[in-house]
Amino acid sequence: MQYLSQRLAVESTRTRRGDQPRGSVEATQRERILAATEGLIAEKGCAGTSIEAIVKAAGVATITFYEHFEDKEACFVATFERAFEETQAALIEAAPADLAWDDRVRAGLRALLATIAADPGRARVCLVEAQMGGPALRARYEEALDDAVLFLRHGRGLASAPGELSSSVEEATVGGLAWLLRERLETGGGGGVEDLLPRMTEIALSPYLGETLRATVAEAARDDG
Amino acid sequence: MGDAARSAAELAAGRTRLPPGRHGLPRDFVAENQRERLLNGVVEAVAEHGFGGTTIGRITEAAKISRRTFYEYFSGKEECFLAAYAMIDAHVRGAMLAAGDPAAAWPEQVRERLATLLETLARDSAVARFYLVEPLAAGGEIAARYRDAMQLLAETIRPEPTLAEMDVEVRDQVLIGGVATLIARRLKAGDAAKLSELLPDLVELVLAPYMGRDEARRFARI
Repeated sequence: MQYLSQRLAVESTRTRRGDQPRGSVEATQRERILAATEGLIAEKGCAGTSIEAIVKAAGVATITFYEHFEDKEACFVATFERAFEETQAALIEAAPADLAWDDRVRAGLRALLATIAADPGRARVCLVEAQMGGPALRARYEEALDDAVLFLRHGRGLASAPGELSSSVEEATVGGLAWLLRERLETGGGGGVEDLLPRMTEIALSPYLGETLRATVAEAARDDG
Repeated sequence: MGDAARSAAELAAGRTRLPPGRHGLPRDFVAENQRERLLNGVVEAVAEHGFGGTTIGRITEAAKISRRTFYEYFSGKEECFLAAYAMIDAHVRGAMLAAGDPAAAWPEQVRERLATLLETLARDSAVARFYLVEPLAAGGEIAARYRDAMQLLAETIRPEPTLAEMDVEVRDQVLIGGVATLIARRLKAGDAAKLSELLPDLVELVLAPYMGRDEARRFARI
């Protein structure tokens, strides 16, 4: 241990957490740093977030920050990674693979909107700020869109003539819905976003399902949404 | 066209630099030429360095204009970016609105306008990226202008809504989000030259909410 601040940081964490093993302390520190970074980015954007502000908000020493991350950019990438992964995990949990595909779409969208309503700051980080970061962050954003595209593509199994669908249908759906959500965040801070469920479900399913089935599914989303 | 007129046209198109010394061109014209060269410079600089990496030094270097002159026209890089953005936006939407036969049925007009959009962007990938990729990365006022521009773009490729339509806003946003995402992702992948291949997909995407998916697909693939 080279620095006094480093030593003090470890000591203080031990005091509060009792006799946790060292690995767990580190995981907690890392988690605190990531949570603090996410909150700051949501509030001030990437450009307005400094390491100084991060360590202050996380309640860790600067040296502790550098034990976990090489620089600010690495911390940002880990922050986005965590936000994306936790959101995706919530969607997967809400829409298990044993449900019918159209039910999965509806359940997944409902979980997504609930997540946004519960934590608009995180939604802002994922949908707005991710596009303003460096190349690694922007690539991560595109990757999340690709995951959604691959998921929607399963819907082709339901289409009466899947071969007739243009190859870009899913990309357009995901881009359109992401745009809609970003507009809501920019203009209303994400308020009332859950009201969008029936419309979004209908939009996501419309390329694959006939008019009748589509109406039924949207109706269901309205009833239990 | 006489020599003077030709050189003025070339200058206006940003193809040549003003000759040094006394050139006998009107003062307003010189000013307009310098400003236009700076606007071209910001597009060049952003294409090379991205919005974040663009500095006033890089703009003036690309425009071959002094930093002092830059400040005669703009207070900073954002103002210069916004001026270039407004010019590109007016050009792109103007070209879309002027395309095709105004007496044609609206689906036909939508196709002409989308074709014009793709052609205009494919012709110059630096302009295309400036218009559709960089603003979201820049954020702030620039992203806000971009969102406004896209809303106006949406209005050129859909029918006038009837009073009874409740969710025009949602429909517009999903539509423009789809169109902008498809184009921007191809630009990011360096595929500007292939943009015209998107035309049938975009026509189908835009018309489907109004004509029904099957009818839109048939029309798009004619």
